Formats: sequence, C-alpha cells, structure tokens
Amino acid sequence: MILIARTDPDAPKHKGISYFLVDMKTPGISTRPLIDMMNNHGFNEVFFENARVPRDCLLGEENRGWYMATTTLDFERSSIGGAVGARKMLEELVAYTRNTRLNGHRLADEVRVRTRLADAGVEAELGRLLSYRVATLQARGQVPNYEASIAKLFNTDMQLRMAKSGMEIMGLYGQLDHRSRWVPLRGRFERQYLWQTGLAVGGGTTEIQKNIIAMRGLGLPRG
Amino acid sequence: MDFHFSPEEESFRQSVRYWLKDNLPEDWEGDRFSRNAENRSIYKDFAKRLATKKWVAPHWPVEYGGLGLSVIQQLMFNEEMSYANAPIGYSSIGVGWAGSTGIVYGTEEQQKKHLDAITTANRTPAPTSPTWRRGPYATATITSSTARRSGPPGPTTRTG
Ligand SMILES: Cc1cc2nc3c(=O)[nH]c(=O)nc-3n(C[C@H](O)[C@H](O)[C@H](O)COP(=O)(O)OP(=O)(O)OC[C@H]3O[C@@H](n4cnc5c(N)ncnc54)[C@H](O)[C@@H]3O)c2cc1C
Repeated sequence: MILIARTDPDAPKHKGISYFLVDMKTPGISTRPLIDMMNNHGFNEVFFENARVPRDCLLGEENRGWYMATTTLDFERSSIGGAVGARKMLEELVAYTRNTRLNGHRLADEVRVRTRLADAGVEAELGRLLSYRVATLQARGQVPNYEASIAKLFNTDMQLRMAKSGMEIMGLYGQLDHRSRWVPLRGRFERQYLWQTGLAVGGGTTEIQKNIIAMRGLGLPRG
Repeated sequence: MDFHFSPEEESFRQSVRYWLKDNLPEDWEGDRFSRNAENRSIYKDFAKRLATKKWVAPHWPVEYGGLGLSVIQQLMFNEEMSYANAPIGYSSIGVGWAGSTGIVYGTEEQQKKHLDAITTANRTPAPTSPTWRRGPYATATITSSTARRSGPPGPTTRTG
C-alpha cells in the first residue's frame, strides 16, 4: 500500500510528511471490507496496531512525501477512461429499445426514447473527444491542466446521465438486481447508476474540478 | 490537418481488441475495479495473461517491464480495455500510482522488489482479514493514530 504519514510533527503543513510503500501483510496491519451500495467490495478500512515499518519502505527522501504524492496524483489526473464505457452502454441500450415491445410497439419507435438516445449519442462522442484532447496534449509533451478537469467533469456527469437514461427507459425493470432472471442487459445499468455517483467524487469532486476550470481555464480569482 | 490515427496505430488497436475477445470469459460482465471473492480466480488468471503480453503496465519504459507505448497507443489500449470491461482491480493501484511513483523516486533496490512483481502479476493484494464476517458489526472509530520511530534516525531527520 501507499502510506503517506507525518514524520515530523513540528514541520509546517506540507513539509514533514513521508511516502512509504508498505507490505499489507505486515503484522499489525489489518483490513475490514467496506461494502458499497452495489454490495461490492472495492474498498477497505485499514487499521494499524503497533505495525513496524522498516526503513527500506521509505520512498524517496524523508519528509518530502507531500511533493511525491502530488506526482502520484498527476498520474491519476492524466488517466483516460469512461467515455468508451458510455459508448458501449449506449450501444446496448439502443439494441434493447429495438428488441423490446411495450403496449404493442417497440421502445425504439417512441419519440421520447429516440430523442433521449440521440442526446446520449452526442454526449458520448463529446466525452471521447475531450479525452482525446488530453491525450493529444500529452503526446505533444505538454502537461494537461484544466483540460483534464474538463474531461473528468464532463465524462463522470455524462456517464451518470447515461445510466439514468437507461434506468428510465427500462422502467421498473431497470431497478432489478443483476442476478434477477428478469433483469435487462444483465443489470449493467442498475450497477452503473449506483457506481457512477461515486466516480463524481473520487479523484477530485465535481465542485473541485469546476474550481480548477474557473481558476486555471478562465483565469477567475480564487473563490 | 489529418485527424486520423495512423495505420500502425489502428492495427495495434485491432490486435488488442481481438486478444481481449480471446482472453476474457465469454459474456464477461464483471466490474472493472471490484475485488469480489466470487471472481477472484478470473481476475488473477486474467492478470497473468496480460503479463505474458507485457500488458499489465504497457506504458512503462521497457527497462521496467513495460513496452514503452506511445501516448496514442496507451489511449487505444485503455479504450479497448474499458470497452471490454476488462478487470484491473488487482493491479490498478500498483500500476497507476505506486509503481509509477516508484519509477520516478524509488531506489534501484525498491524498483527491483516492486516493479517486477507488478508487471509479472506475481503479487496480488492480500485478501482482507480472515476474522471479518459479513453482517452487522461494531464500528470502531479511530480519529487519529500515532507513529513512533524506533531505531536510529536517518541522516536528514530531526528527532520528534
Ligand atoms: C470511487 C472512489 C474511489 C476512491 N479512491 C481513492 C483512492 O484510491 N485513494 C484515496 O486516497 N482516496 C480515494 N477516494 C477518496 C476521494 O479522493 C475523496 O472522497 C474525494 O477527494 C473527496 O474528498 P472527501 O470525501 O473528503 O469530501 P470533502 O472534501 O469533504 O467534500 C465534501 C463536499 O464538499 C464539496 N467541496 C469540498 N471542498 C470544496 C471547495 N473548495 N469548493 C467547493 N466545494 C467543495 C465537495 O465537492 C463535496 O461535495 C475515492 C473515492 C471514491 C468515491
């Protein structure tokens, strides 16, 4: 695990923090699963009780950990994903509306459904292009800044809207658990609907991304 | 201006796509990042398969067990992995965060110890404590914890 710990309690805020790579099997470290609202185990609570961390677990220079942690977060910031997952969900949703009949006609014939799908198609494409923009900057050796925030902000919101559209189009069936025999599209939309809420928080919340775009993208003063 | 990807890039994308089709369980619907016990063996097996292609961290430099892919190839790789819902929960922290930072700041010894284990998928995270049982349990609230140095201080430290 990555452990960021204060190693000099007297040093100012960002100084006096060190970066360790610690073996999870170290005696004294225990974990307890956090089960999320999808009934999924993706995270743990981690407890440290008299755990001894050998010196060779220290990464880089002692008390310089904060600055290294920001390097770590830079790797996160440039990561790309999501938009493609949304495209796949859209393709599945389109197939579903073609194959599902309600009150004597196909869902795909309903104006409201078609309009919703068209909007979702535009958004998924936009999300992909915003991600490509970040990658293009990186390919040119430039460091993406507010551009990455735009992609992250747009893509997480877009995926949530996509999941919501699916839930609405499927009606009450959309809420079924993925193990139910009646569940459409193997429950992918129900799971995504729950999971996506967290992605708008992890890696910097939507509000924080907006702060970055306002300050660095638009040059507005710090709020 | 030409916005298209090059033929080499497109054929790289195809090769990833076909490989994923052959190497993921049919109708794979698992979650990308979860570590649910029911799919544990699938995650581990898939990580091993990625490792044989040097695709656990294909963007890392060759000397650290990657393929040194270009940014555009990384983009395509990530897109195909994401489209196929390929599971990477068992390696995502090592590849995306800890290992990458280790490449920049680690000593040679630390790099040897960690990076190889990550790219060969030879070390997957420890299972959670066996004492844990599902169901209601008392919540422990730990608001802070203290660390104490034992052994000699390093050359750059003040004792605290
Ligand atoms: C799926 C997921 C995965 C995660 N993975 C990791 C991980 O691997 N490692 C890790 O360390 N952490 C991880 N996290 C934690 C994540 O980084 C934090 O949850 C996130 O940064 C938000 O911090 P917080 O929860 O303390 O919320 P807070 O910062 O307390 O925010 C609470 C609310 O206030 C708003 N807010 C806060 N500050 C401002 C501001 N200045 N202006 C306007 N609004 C503001 C926020 O938008 C939010 O709505 C993960 C979280 C999720 C959901």
